[in-house]
Amino acid sequence: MHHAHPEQIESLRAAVSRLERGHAVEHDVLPFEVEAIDAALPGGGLALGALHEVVGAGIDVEFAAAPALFAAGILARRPGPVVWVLARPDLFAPALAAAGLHPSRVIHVEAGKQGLLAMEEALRHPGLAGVVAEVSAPVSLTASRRLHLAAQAGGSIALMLRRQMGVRAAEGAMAASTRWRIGPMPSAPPLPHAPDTPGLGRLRWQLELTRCRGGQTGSWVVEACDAQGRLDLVSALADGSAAAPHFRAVA
Amino acid sequence: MGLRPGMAVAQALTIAPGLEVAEAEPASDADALRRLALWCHRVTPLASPDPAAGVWLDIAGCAHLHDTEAGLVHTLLARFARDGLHARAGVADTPGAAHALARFAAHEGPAFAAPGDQATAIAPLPVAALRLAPETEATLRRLGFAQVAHLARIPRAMLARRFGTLLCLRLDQAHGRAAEPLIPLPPDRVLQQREAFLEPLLTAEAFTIATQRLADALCAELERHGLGARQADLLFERVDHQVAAIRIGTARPTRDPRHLARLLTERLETVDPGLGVEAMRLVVGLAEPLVWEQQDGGATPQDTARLVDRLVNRLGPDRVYSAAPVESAVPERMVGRIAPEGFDTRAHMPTLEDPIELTPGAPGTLHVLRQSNLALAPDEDPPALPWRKPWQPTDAKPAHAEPWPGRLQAPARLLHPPRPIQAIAALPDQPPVAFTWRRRHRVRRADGPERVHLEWWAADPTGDGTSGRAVRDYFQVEDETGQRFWLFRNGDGLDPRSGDLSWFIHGLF
Repeated sequence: MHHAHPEQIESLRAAVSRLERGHAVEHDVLPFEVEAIDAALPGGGLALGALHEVVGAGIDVEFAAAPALFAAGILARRPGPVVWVLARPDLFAPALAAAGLHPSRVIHVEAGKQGLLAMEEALRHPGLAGVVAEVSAPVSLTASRRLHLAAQAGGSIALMLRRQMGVRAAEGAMAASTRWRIGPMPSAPPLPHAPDTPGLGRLRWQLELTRCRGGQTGSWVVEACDAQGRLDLVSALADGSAAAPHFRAVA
Repeated sequence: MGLRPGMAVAQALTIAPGLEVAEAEPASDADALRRLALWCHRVTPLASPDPAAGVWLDIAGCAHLHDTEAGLVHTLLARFARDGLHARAGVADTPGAAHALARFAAHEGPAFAAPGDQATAIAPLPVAALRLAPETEATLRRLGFAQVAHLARIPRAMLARRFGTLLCLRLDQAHGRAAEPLIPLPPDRVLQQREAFLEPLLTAEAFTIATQRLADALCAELERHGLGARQADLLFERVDHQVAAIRIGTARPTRDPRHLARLLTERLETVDPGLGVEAMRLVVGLAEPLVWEQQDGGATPQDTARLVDRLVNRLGPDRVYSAAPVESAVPERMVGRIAPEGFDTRAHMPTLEDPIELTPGAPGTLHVLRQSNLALAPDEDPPALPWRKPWQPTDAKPAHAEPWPGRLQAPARLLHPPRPIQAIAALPDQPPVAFTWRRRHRVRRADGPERVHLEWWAADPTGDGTSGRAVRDYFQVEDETGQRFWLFRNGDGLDPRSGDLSWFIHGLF
């Protein structure tokens, strides 16, 4: 058997990675501004013009409340209108506003069974910050590839929030660039020096990147979106020096 | 009864106690008169409003279409009477004589002056018929000139010296010795394109091609007028003389043929072609001025408007919306729905049968509704639409300030209606220690209570029959896994009238 030259293998790898990341249009990325997370993602952030899948955990698999906030935080940091395709009309706009996504920017679409169609239509339109679709039915590989291509053509972020009616999330094959799983995490006391004070601190999530094309998977404990839609890594806050931002958030 | 124009309201009410008094609206009156003149274009191409209460019609060469002049006038008056307009008509060679006959003829009904003989027709009329200034008219009457005929005997030079040149001019105009040109209103034509086919069409492909061609032609016409369509109807004239139709609306005026054709063809499946379609017609129902905009290469609001058009076209106007704050403390009432991005989606209509919601008297009310009546005779044009008027959206654009109170703890999902749960909590204001919803949750940390008084002034604030005295105490709780829930207890824990102390889950964070 012919022994392949290392340089040839390198160039083949580069070609494959180009193919994987979509050779048609190279899009920019939106960094999370959290070093650990951005390091795991190819290009140092969430790819624009690509499909991303977000699921909840536990009871939230059905409601996708944390995924909705996560999506709102991402889109709050992008300019332009947002199309939000709803599965059920239970999204509460004040929560999106609290994550920095102003209600006037969001176009809600109750598409019923035509959710994926509406998502594709919106993705092909230029100038949107992003398109969020809440999907409860299984999505085929072909359908997800179509959405991914539509996102590439339009250049906006496509976020698919999976809402399973059962407790188990189905892990079907998807053409998404990344897959995120957001689970609940017990939060810290509101005042770190007085843990017995009643009240609630900032919401915490176990943020898992379970799939990442061209990057690494990972798992982080983060504090949920602030008023500008930014996450904060909890491990960075654990030492005394970085606790200051947390205090600011409380005050 | 003795009521006359210019009389004081108090005096008029003494004469006729039941009199209905309304403020004068000269601008609306003038506009209505203009539209009436436009409507008269179906009788003659030369029509113009005559303030304050008349319309000039030049019917030269038009009367034979109604057999005689009398036929034309009777048709016109009958049509006015059916619409509740009381009108009188005068027909003469000169505008001055026609004006005089219409207002001052002794008998009811239309008055005709024989061709070339307006002098005898107006001779018995009072001098007021000559459109004179009130003081001139009063002086003439005081001097004993009751009829137009009396003036004819006085030498012109004396009349001009005593009463000014206007009197002579009016006399000359009435007799045809001085020209009085009318300035006709430009015809407010319906923008439409029609295409008839040699063979009746039946297939979707054929309809698609025809639609694209109609859209191309219509958009070229819109461009010539500097307009963009807000609403368009595609009418299918079937061989059995039925008319099928598709109506589309756009959030912004557009004259992009591809966009229009795409909106229309997406709805082709709703059309029943019957035994075949022998002609198709694309009519602009509503148009607004549209000037060329500089494209800066980036996305424009126009792009978003197109997306909204497509989504609304496919799903219906009530399925595409933006959220706007409503002043209410009750969570399920805090969020209102408005048209997305401040666009006006009322021009979007899924079906022609749905009445379009317009403010009373807004341009287009009558016509848009009338057009939905598709029992038009095949040869009758749809009525002219006042498409020069811009459509004024009334939905308030959401303020770009803080939409809801910033400290509001809002869950991402609101369960509506709230689901009842089992909870263990100490009265009156302790958060629950544990609750059962789907499974048992032990509460690790909690925040609250936040008291919400239901709107006592509303009869049924939540729509489920709770009393107006009701109070809810909201708690934000976190269970042992870190999942947060929004719970509330009906009642303040002290006064039984404020609620029955049952617990509910209202949202998830």
